[in-house]
Amino acid sequence: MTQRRGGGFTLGAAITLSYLAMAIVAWFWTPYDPATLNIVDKLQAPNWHHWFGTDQLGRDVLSMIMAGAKISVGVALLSVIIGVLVGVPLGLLAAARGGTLDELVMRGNDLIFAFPSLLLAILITAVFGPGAVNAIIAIGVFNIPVFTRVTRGGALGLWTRDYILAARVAGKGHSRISVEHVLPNLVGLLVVQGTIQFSLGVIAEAGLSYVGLGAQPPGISWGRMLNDAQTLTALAPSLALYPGFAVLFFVLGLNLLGDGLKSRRAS
Amino acid sequence: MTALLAIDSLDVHIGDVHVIKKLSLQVQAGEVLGLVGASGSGKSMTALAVLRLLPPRARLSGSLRLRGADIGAMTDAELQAMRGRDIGMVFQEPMTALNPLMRVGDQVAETVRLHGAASRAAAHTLARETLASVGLRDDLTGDRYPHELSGGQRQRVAIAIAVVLRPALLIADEPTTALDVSTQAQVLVLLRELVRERRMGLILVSHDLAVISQVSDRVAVMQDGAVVETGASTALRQLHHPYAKALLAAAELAPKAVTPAFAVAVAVGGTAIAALSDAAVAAGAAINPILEVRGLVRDYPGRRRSLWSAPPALRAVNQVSLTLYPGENVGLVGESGSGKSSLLRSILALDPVQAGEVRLLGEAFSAARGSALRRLRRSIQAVFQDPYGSFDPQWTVARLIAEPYYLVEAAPNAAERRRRVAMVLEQVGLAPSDAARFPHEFSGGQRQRIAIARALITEPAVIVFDEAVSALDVLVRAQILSLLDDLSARLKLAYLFVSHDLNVVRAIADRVYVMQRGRIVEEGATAQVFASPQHEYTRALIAATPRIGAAPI
Repeated sequence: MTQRRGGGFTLGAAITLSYLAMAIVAWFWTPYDPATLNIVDKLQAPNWHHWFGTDQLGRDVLSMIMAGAKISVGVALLSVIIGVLVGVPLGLLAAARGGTLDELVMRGNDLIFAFPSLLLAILITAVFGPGAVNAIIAIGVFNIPVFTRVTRGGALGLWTRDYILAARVAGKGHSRISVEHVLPNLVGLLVVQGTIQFSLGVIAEAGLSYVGLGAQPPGISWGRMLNDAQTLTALAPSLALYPGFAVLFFVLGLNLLGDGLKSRRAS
Repeated sequence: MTALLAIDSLDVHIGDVHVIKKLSLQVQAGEVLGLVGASGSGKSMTALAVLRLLPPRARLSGSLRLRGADIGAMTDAELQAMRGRDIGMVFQEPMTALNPLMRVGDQVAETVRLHGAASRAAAHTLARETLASVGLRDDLTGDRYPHELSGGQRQRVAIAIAVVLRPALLIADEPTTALDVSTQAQVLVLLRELVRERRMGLILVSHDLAVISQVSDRVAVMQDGAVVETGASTALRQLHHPYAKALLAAAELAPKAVTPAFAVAVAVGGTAIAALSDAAVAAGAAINPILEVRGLVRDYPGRRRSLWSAPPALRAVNQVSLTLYPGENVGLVGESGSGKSSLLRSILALDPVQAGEVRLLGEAFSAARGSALRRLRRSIQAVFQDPYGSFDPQWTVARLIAEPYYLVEAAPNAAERRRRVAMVLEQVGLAPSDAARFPHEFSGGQRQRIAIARALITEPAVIVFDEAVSALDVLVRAQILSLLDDLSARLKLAYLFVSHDLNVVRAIADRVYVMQRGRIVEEGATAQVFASPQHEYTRALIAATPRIGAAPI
């Protein structure tokens, strides 16, 4: 039982770490410049020079996947950070204060939850134009209510503990107790949620790029690669496989990691 | 005559740990066997072994026979048929023993249906009859959900589930530990009656010899997985094993000795001045109360009835006044729900009050704000009930104990802090080296010592205890009470000691207040209140408190 759990966790961690490593390497080095067109070598099958082959414009697919990892990790990570930075303090505040403030925060949350995420992304794009930054904002905004809820739920449970009562007897106020006693005991919960939101962010980024609301050329993203490949399904069907599997394995790894962390917390 | 249940040289190993060692016991039909011991002595494991409900890694050897049938050799199917039909089980926690989503009548009927003992309609009739026989006679009770019932009622439902099929043997594992005294007495009477009516055998597991002595015919004392002595309940004082004697002493807490000055004050009808030396009394020194509660009212908002009108208030504390003099130990008793905890939170200035006031050291405490509030808080600290929930699991003992230093403006430097933490640790009987450890490394009793150390660090004048020994087993409870008594005398501390257990209050308090439904109904010197209680509620509480040597119920 424990063995199986540990296996999922280890595999998830290994997959996640290799993607992160790939993203970091892509920052400094890729086999070819993924933006350089080389029409002569277009649509090559995988070979020693181009491990994953080349696309219709002769770009090296492996280099594009690596560059896509950079965007994917960056967008998902920054949107989780936005969610944590705004959502966690809101959740702590709502749990500590209760009453009208709690009611306001949670109903505001419901409002964001009820708003279709794609609609918001289109709205932001309409106002600021498309781009990776706007994808980060759109996904980040939807992470806020998730983290607010998780934090508030966990914090409400902690506020009934006797050690919180003891801290109040020691004269500590709501905000100090939230920072000293509540937040540190929620870290595990938030890491698990962060992992889950990260994987949702990867999917969301691919989705937004696919419909053209994410990273713009010459920036490269797995969603855009899928879109490009779609027009060539008859000519080079394997082109869609690389970005598709890139997303699939990354999300799978993150979910295994999240589940592993969750069961580790529980035991 | 063959015994109803015969356990012969039972051994249980869990992993490498030998939890039950060569245990032999017999229970006859119509007999109540009390199984007593401190936590970890193997009482519950024995009960689970009889039902073959041990954890998966447990190995069992020896013989377990119910009316001659070998329980040890039964297949899973035979065991399932046996559990509930031949042996019923009642657990400690009435809150978690019932399914919250099912009506209680259905839960009783489910046991009948599972054993295929009756048709659906007959099962429900049987369930209704059984609920009535455990004292839930109201026709509607069966239609209620567990959360709509009180703790005592829930435990009655759990008992009904256990006895609905008229099992030959009932096992009750600490069935009254989570209940307060009056409810406990009712549940014990019920168990006794069921045994008498149905000629069941009953194994009653408890850490409290006083509880066991009131119901059982025979007592088996367990220590480290073995029965060290058995004897008749009527002859507990003849038990001679040292561990049995220790349990007996711990269950029979000696009332607190009355100090001479206090006796004088009571005799002349003056105010309580327990802490005064005789010389001070002679000099006629004026004594100011250290803590004074005047006409305190605490309301909670009730359930909102309409969108426009304000929700009705639930009055948890109603016009309560009480006084604490320096060095005095005052008890506050009452059942759960009587408003004790709400009163405490208001006294500690954690909750606002709706009327009345709390004065500490002669200053207004409940109305204090800012630096005045912090200064006053230094003089009143608290110890809470749950030794497991009282500490942030991520903090070291040193940091936990030093937390109240937040109240001290000119907080001592690191070296001085370390010295003071070491000092209070020694005062509560722990080692200074324990400061670097984490709370989970300590037992329940040691944790309560850490909680006391935390309360001592700011050198307060008053410490408030909220059921501080209720979660501890009898031996540890006796140790903590004697530590508290000693600290109070040495450091001239005043205690406000809240408990539902009268034995505990009698052992620690000079004076007691009795609280019922948010009001103080009686107060007086402890010895006086116990000897001649005036209010009927006090009389009922005292009558319900189990005592060794009292007439069996």
